[in-house]
Amino acid sequence: MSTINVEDSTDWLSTTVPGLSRLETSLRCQVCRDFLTSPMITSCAHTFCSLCIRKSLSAEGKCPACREPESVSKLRRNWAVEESVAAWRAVREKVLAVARQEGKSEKGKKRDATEAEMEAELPRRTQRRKVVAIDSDDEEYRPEEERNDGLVPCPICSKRMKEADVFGHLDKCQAERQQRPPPKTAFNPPPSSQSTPTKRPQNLAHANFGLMKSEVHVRNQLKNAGIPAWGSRDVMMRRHVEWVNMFNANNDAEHPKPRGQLLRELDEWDKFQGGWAARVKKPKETDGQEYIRQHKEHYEELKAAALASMRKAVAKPVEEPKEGEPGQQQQNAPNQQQQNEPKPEASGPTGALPESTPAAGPVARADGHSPSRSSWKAPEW
Amino acid sequence: MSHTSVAAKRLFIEYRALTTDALDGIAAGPVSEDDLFLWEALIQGPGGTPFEGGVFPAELRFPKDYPLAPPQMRFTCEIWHPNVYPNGNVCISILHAPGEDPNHYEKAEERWSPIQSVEKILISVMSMLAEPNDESPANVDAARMWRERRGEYERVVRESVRRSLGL
Repeated sequence: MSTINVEDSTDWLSTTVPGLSRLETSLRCQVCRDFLTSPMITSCAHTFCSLCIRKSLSAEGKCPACREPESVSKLRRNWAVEESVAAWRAVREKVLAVARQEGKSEKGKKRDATEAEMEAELPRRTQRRKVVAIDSDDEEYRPEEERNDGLVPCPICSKRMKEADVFGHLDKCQAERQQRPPPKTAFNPPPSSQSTPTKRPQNLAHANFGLMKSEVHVRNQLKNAGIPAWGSRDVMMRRHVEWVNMFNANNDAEHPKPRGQLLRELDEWDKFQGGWAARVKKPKETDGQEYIRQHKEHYEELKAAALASMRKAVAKPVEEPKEGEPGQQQQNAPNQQQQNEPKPEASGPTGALPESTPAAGPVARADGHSPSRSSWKAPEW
Repeated sequence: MSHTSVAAKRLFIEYRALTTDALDGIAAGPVSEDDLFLWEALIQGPGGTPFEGGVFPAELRFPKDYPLAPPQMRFTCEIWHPNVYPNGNVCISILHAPGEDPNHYEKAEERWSPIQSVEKILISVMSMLAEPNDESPANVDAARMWRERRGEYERVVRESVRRSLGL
C-alpha cells in the first residue's frame, strides 16, 4: 500500500492558509474523499463523483448525504464544480509550496525583526509583488509592440491587419465566432462533451434480475453486455451492476476511457472481490444451513432423479445410499454435494439423460460457490 | 489508480487525515500498512464517566465495498457496557447499514452512509461510552445493571478499567 501517495485536505492545516482545507474539502467527493471526478449533482443538490453516486444508488437508492430517495435518471453533471476542481488541481502544488514557504519565511522574520519592522516590511513586500506582476504583463505584450509592422490585431481573433480593415473584418469575424462553440468555461461546458452527445454510446440500463428466474437469463444478460459471464448468479448480478455503473460513469467523463480499459478495470474489480465474490447478506455462521434450506428442493429433485435412474439401471445396490442420505443432507451441504456427484455418473451409463442434466445445474452452482467459500479466508488478509 | 482500490484509497486518506488532524482521546490506523482493511483504534474513556482514565483498544474490519458498507468494530479488551456484546462487538446505529436493523428501533438518519467515516464512528463510540443506549441491549445484563443499579454498574466499570491498567 505504500504505493499510495495521496494528498488530502488536511495538507493545508499546517500552512499559513489553513482555511484552504475547507475549500479543498468542498472540491472532494464525500464518498471516496478524492477530488470529484465527473461530478454529478443530485436532485437534492448534493454533488458526488459520477461513479460514487451511481454505486451508492445501486446499493441503496438514497442520497448518501441527506438520504432523500434518488435515482440515477435525476443526476445531472455539475460543470461549475468540475471546472473548479480542474483549476484547483492545476495550481494546488504551487499554492501549497507558497503557503508552506510563507509560513517558514514569516517565522524566520519574527525571530529577528520587531513587529514595527514587520509592518513596514509587509506593504513593501506586496508592492514588490505588484511590480513583478506588471513586469510580467509587460513581457507578454512586448513582442507585439516589437513587431511594429503598422498592423493591428483584431480584438476578437487577434489576426493582424491594417487598422482601416478592422471594422469590415469585425462583422465577418463575429459571425464566424458565433457559429463556433463558445470557449470552455465553467458555465460554457467544453464543446467536446456538450455539443456532441451523439458520439457517446447510450447509457446502459440496470437489468431487472429479480424477474430472471433462470441463471441462463442472467448469464445471457452478461454475454449481451460483452462482459465475462462466469460465476454464480450472485457474482454475475453484482458484476453486471458494477459494469453498468462503470460504463455510465465513464460516459459522464470529459475524456472517456476506451472500452478495453473499462473491461480491464472490471477484471481488476473481479479479482479484488476474490473470495468475497459470493458474499451473501446473511451472516457467515448460518451460511451452510442457509444454503441447504435454499437448495433443499433442488437436492430433493436431484436425489429422486438419481435414485430413479439407479433403480432402472441396477435393482439391488440402491437401498443403502437411500437410507444414508437424508441425515447427511441435513448436516451439511458440501458432503451432500459429494454424495450427489457420483450418482449422476452412475446414472450416466444407463443413458438416462433427463435425470443427469438437472444434476448438472446444482453441481455447477455448487462449484460456483465452493471455490469462493474455500478461498474465503485467504483474501481476507 | 484503478477504481477497484477506491476502498483502499479512501481508507488511506482517512488514515492520513486522522494523523495530521488528530482527535482528542482517539488514535486509529491500520495494523499494518500492507492491509488497510484492518485497523486498530484506541479510545480514551471519556472524562466524568466511570470509563475515565481507561484506554480501550478495538479493531475495525472494513469490507471491500467500503464505504458503501460500514466496518465492523470490536473491542479487544474487556468492557462492561450495555451496547457492547460480551465478545466485544460494538452495537451502535452508525455501524449498521440502513438495510439492516437488528433491534428494529434505529432511525435511518443515524445509520451508516457512505459519507460517514472512521472519525465519526469513533466519536460516536466515545459518546456511547458516556451515554449508553438503553434501547439496544447488546449486553442485557449490563443494560439491566445500568438501568436498575447504576452504582453497581459504575463500580464494575471502574474496576475493569483499573484491571486493564494493571492496577
